[in-house]
Amino acid sequence: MEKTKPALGARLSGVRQYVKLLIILIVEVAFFSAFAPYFASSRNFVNILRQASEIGIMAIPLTLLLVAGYMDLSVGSIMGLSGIMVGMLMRAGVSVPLAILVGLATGVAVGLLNGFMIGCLNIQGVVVTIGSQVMIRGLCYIVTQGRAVSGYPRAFFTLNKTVAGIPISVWVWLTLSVLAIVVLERSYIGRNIKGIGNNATACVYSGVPVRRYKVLLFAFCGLVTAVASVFLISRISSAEATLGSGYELDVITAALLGGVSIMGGKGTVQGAMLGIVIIGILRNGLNMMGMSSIYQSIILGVLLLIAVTERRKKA
Amino acid sequence: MTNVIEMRGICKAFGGVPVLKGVDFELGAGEIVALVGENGAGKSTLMRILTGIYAKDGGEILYAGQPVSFRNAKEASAAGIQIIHQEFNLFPNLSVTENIFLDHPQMVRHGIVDGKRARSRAAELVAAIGGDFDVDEKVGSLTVQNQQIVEIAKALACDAKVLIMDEPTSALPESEVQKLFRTIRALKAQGVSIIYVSHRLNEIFEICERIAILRDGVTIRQARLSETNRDEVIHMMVGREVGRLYPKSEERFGQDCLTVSGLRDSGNVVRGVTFGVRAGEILGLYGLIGSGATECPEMIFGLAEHTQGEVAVKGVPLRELSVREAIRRGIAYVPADRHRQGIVRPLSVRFNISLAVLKRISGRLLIRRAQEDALVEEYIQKLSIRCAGDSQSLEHLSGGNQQKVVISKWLATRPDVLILNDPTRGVDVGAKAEIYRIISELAGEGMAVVITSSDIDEILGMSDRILVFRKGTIVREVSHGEADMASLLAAAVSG
Repeated sequence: MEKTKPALGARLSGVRQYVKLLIILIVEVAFFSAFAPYFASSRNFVNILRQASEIGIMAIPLTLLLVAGYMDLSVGSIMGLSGIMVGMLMRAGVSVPLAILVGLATGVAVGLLNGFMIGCLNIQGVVVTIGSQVMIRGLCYIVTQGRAVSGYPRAFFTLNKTVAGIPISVWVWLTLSVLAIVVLERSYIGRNIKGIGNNATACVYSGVPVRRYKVLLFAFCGLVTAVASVFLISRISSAEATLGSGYELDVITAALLGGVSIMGGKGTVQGAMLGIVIIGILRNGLNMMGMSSIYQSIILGVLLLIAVTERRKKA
Repeated sequence: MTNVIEMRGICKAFGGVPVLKGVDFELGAGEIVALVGENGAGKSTLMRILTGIYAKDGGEILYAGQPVSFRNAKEASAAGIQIIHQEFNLFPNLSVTENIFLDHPQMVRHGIVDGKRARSRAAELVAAIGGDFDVDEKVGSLTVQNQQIVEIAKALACDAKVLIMDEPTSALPESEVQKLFRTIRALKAQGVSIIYVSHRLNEIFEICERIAILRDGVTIRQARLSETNRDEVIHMMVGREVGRLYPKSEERFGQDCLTVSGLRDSGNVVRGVTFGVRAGEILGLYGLIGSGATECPEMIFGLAEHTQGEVAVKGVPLRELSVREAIRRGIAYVPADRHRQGIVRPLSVRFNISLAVLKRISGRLLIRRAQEDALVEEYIQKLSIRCAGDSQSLEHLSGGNQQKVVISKWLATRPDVLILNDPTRGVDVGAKAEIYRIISELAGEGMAVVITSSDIDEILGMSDRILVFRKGTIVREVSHGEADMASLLAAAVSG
């Protein structure tokens, strides 16, 4: 039995799936460098990464969820509610660390609720999270009474600082990505996630605690989304009822672009992160060329459809 | 009598494994011939070749004296050879008429079955074979027996001259079997020749005129039923090679390894079942569908609800009946539905073999590569799993090799008790023998084995002891030497 050869072959085909994304990335960068003024500067690149970091952070748990065959459409609302919580607590004089902690706990709580409904009551993930999306968003409007929450203590904005020239949020994004890649590709947790996404029944029959995985994955998704939310409100220094609304689609789009299957079982964190970067650069470059965001979404949609169609053909 | 069909020296191999090794088969005009053989003997392969679904590797087929070779099912159907599968091929939301004439160009106009003409013709066809129901009715609202009549009428509408019926009574309640026989006799009277594929010897002796017995891809005998008897047929079906197919390791049983006491569920599928299996013993559970023979192992493994009872391994009771507790305590379960419950099909051999022991071969978080390599390699060798390397997806593995992967997954957990539910379903003859050998060896090494199967031969051949289930209780216990098919069936049917 040859062991090295198939492993090498598998590794090569593993790289091959990113080739197209890398080409898109290079073409994109080259194009905007040539046509968008001020695009090719290190300051702009840092800016792109900073802007992409919040969606990037959110995309990590969502990728794990998608690979396990589930879907969370409530992440945008979770982002909104936990950001608003953090903002309101700080404005009420609660210390920054405590406010953040409560914000994160809010995310976990919503995630656990999603997970409980899906894992223990066996309701479909899409249905549950559409429900919580709408419900949590409603809650956002009620607690803010429609007014923006701003005026945070100075200490909170240390989160916007850079370390070695790179914003903290980007460092967090990178660290979480690497961790998630290792977990998904090398750990037993990753194996089980892939197994559940491909055949949950067989996993139950093999003693994998599928229900526990479901609940914890949704809780993790809530937690990490809250982390992203904290960075978002520190960057824009305000939280309103619409905070994070529509982000779920951005995150899913990036993941799909990066080769994650919406049917579950297939996909990598690396791919999803490439998707995030490609979309981040596209939006930034088109902004610099003065294209309205409405046209941007058309281009984004077309790009996604092309990427997915190509994959279909091969399969 | 002239022969409508003559198959001579038919050969067919799949992936190098010969399934048919020169099969002869004859069917006279207006005759009803039984085709029997144990699972995997080649019956369905032979019928698939006759109906053009498979291409034969060798031999010839004469149809009404002319050599033919159908390239697909449509050609065979156009020539008048129709097959009625075990699973009906009907549209429950369409009417009887629509179902019967769906494939009929003459009856379909603008994509819709032509009303009046079709309806009266449908009524005619249905009445001719003893159907007594409205042809406007939706097929989904008919009884299974009447649905079967629709299937037959559908075949007749295509001018069937030869009708192959695959296990036609398997879906029918006992009381409806005679009605089917009336239909079959009506067909014969219309000059239709019938190939009756079945395991049920009683029915065969009642309705058929001749019998063809296949075993391991060879025609053992073709005879008039008046010239033979049940025992002889069974003997020929199972053959002298049972010993080879079901190797028995020397019987050395140890202590009770698995004990089940008073197992019961709220639905009365299993009501108070108590038994024990000793180390090294192979225990067969046999019963008809719903008798509890397959439900019982599912309960032991925590897959089905139970209300009462206790399971113990080596004398120590399980804390609860759940999959995880069962695995922890050394019980392994190979499920019946391999694709849905047994394997994660798109993923690799490696993934599947280590699925149940991931924690053991991992550190805090990461899988220890070397340990996994060794584990996977060990079982690929030990069970001779034929694959192009451990990273190959199970998608392209044969059923037998997939099943060996499932068994490997469980052996990796080093179980004391191995429960197998229909372990050779959808597995070719060659791999079947291998799986039997593996099971016997495991028992020989001191594992306690429980087998439940829809294949009575498997139970008879493999088991050291057999428990017969009926209506949720054990009605008989027989040891290896004294069991035979007739007595098992009798016990399963009437206790």
